[in-house]
Amino acid sequence: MQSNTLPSQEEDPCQKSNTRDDIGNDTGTNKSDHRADTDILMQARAGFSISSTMIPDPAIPRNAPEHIESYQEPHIIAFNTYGWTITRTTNIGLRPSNISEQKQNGQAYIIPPHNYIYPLGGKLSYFLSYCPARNEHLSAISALNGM
Amino acid sequence: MNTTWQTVWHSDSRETETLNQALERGLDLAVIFTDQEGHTHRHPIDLINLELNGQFSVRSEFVFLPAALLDPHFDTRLAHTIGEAALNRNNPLTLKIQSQMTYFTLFDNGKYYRFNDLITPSWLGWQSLKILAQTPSFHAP
Repeated sequence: MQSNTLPSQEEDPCQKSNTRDDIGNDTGTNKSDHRADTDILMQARAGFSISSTMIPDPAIPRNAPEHIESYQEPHIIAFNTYGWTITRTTNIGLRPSNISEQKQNGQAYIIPPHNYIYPLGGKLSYFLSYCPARNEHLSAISALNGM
Repeated sequence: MNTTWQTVWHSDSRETETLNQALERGLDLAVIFTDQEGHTHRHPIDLINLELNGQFSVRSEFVFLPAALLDPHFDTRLAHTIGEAALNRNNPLTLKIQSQMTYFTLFDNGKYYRFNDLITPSWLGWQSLKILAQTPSFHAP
């Protein structure tokens, strides 16, 4: 049964926008004021959900992906002006891969459980790869700021 | 279709009727809380137990975390140090770091515990808590 007594959009800070907005991006090379990240953390505290999208960038040849890749970031831990968003742990477990072949090609291979951790609020932005099943290591796999 | 997040319970008002309605509608839920150190957490809710007298407990989804992220003394800028070091190497820098599989179980009485706190057992406290429900909203084309 549907209910009509949930708070209206005017009553809730989450309802200022009901569409997915790009409130922060890393296309620029100067992030000295970190304002975009601060906005993300402020809106996360207000209840917004966060998703991330990696977009190929020829300026980052080592890390340039060949496709656009999107992740939900359901887990958020925010300090004062710094914070972390964490993807679900098994989000790439279903990707088909031939591990031995990828080893020969020098490509990265990933075994679940695995997730990505995105730090907010620093001078540079990195996508951190975290794989507790493989020696519990944390790696920086991508620089997102056009280094 | 767009989705919106609405607050259905807040520790300031402690009114449970809206939360009850969200549960009856089967909406996806998330919890935002501020811990004793003032850090803000947002996690999706896996399950919630709402008693008839209004008391409740919510449990977040499991998540694998570097244990350092749960350490209040951890400097979050370490991540950027890791990233800068990785750029100076031919191969990506790998840092061995302790893993922690955890979830958060929060009670309306101001207490919560994590999965790893069950061993001690020990309780932690939250300063503020609110529960969000994700509601679909349809727009005509």
